[in-house]
Amino acid sequence: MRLTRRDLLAGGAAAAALGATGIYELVEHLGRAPQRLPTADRAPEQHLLHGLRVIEDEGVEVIVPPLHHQLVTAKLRVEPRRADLRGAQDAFEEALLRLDDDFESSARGLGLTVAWGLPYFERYVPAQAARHLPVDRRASSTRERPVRALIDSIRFPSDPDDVLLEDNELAVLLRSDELEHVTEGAKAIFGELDALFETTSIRKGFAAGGYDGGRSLPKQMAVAAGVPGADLIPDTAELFLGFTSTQKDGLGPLGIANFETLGLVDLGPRNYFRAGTSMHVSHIFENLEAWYLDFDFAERVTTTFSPERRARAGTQTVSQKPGATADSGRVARDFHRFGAIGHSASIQTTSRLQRDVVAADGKLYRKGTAIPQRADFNTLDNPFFWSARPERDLQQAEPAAGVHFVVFNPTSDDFHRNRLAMDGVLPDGTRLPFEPRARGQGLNSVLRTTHRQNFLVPPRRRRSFPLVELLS
Amino acid sequence: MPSPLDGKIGGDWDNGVSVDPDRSYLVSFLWHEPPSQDVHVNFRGYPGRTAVPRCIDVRTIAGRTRRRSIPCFSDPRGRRRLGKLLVTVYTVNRDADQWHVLYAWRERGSLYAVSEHVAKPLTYRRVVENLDRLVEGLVRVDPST
Repeated sequence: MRLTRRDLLAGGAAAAALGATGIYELVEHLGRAPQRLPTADRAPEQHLLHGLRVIEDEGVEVIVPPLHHQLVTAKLRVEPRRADLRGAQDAFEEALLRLDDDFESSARGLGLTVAWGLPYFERYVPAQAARHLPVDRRASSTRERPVRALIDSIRFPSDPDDVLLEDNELAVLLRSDELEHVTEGAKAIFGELDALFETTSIRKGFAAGGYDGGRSLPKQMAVAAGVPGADLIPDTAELFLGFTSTQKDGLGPLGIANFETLGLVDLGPRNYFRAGTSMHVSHIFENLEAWYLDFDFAERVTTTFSPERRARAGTQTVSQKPGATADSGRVARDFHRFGAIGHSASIQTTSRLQRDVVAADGKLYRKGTAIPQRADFNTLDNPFFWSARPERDLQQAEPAAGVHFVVFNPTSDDFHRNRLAMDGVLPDGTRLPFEPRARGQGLNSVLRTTHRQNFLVPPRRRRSFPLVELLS
Repeated sequence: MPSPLDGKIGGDWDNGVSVDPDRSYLVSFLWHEPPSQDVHVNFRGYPGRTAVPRCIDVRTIAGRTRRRSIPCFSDPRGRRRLGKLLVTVYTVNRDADQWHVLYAWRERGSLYAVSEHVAKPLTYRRVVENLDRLVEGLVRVDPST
């Protein structure tokens, strides 16, 4: 279905928007699906995508993400009654199982991740949530009171005052190399089950596409959309900001972000959410003209990585080896010496293991291993592809460069610690005295966040209306 | 010149002429429409030298001011032949050329530059088109005194 963005803004229904492609129709023509090996994996986790190809780019191992991404948020139309909820649970699971039958769980098929917001647990299953939602041991210890692994998002020091902290009950992330698979998945859930779900937003985007040479997908899409600064993006860049961000060393290994893996979480009396995780979702505008007209290449490198980092002109893929992981002391020294901190270096103080850790299953994770499993993707949404509340979301017709930042961390607080470190609030208690969005504060001066929310991702077998079967 | 600029020193859009002790000069034209629309073109000359000039980057963070010497023109994005001139395109520039795209070339032992601000209502692509046309239309004028 071809709908213009203006059609969608003019009040197009969510069902129409689910099938519409708008500017993203170009992705199908510009992007070339990478070759993938078949995978029969149907892991206990919903948030993991198995079988992703690893290539070498500029001497660095890089994971090739799926081309097409869509995230749909919703509120529930279900009455908070046991019978209604059980019926909804069955209907949703049946729809998900049908999609499981139609598509393998991979980038070749369809990666489907169902996540639930705190408003769902508080409205529908408050007593069960109080008993079974995982508890974040580290955050509880720090704050001297129980803190759940799923908490409301906060505004971070570099966030604009008007950033919207959302209250969606459900979010579904769909990922595939085939746009059609994403569209079919979204329709099967939010189109056919619209008696259960009231769609609140549809967010679309893309990643990568240029590893095998030629112009990358983000470059082509940005130029086609005519967003300011598009012509300045390097031709083969994986992302609008010009640097590769899916270095294998920079992404958490499969399973590390599970609730149970690093021992950060008390899973409760029945381990109900074992193999689950937490998910943060935000939308961020990227000011490409500021990035490419006011930061020269050397400063783009130091801003993205660390103040002492050097790279040959034109480098896009910079190694992120575990052995070079920054700690709070190094970032504080950078600040005092250069008046600046790097985006990656500052986040590494909390996003990388600061010591060797033996996981619950006996697996050894070495110091410097990354914890977050990122699933972010570039977008031309402004800020969303479609919104049920265009005035509240400040929905605009013209495309805008940005990123839908989606990341899996063992707890919401773990993500908050990462994001605070990005602002110079370091895990050892050091608070570097930056003005909000200061030029030396990593990427913050060219980013503007509009929306945030945390979600809980249950394990696959409990993805449909979690805890409802425990209602009495 | 990009509309509405007319290139007349002393005219409606004259934004100043300055000459430094080293004889380098800046001739600037500006149309400004509040709050943020600009058409801004700078002409520069550095008689007797061809090196990219240095600028001082000053930043004050947490009460401490840091100064460092940086190239005034950086991030070269290739060279282009426009008429008889072989220009280098720079996309990150400093001082009066900040947020400008700048074309620089060397001729008879001197460095020359023309830049235009990337700001509404102009896009990067439009600025490049403007600079192409502008540089192709330049006529050399020898000093008369």
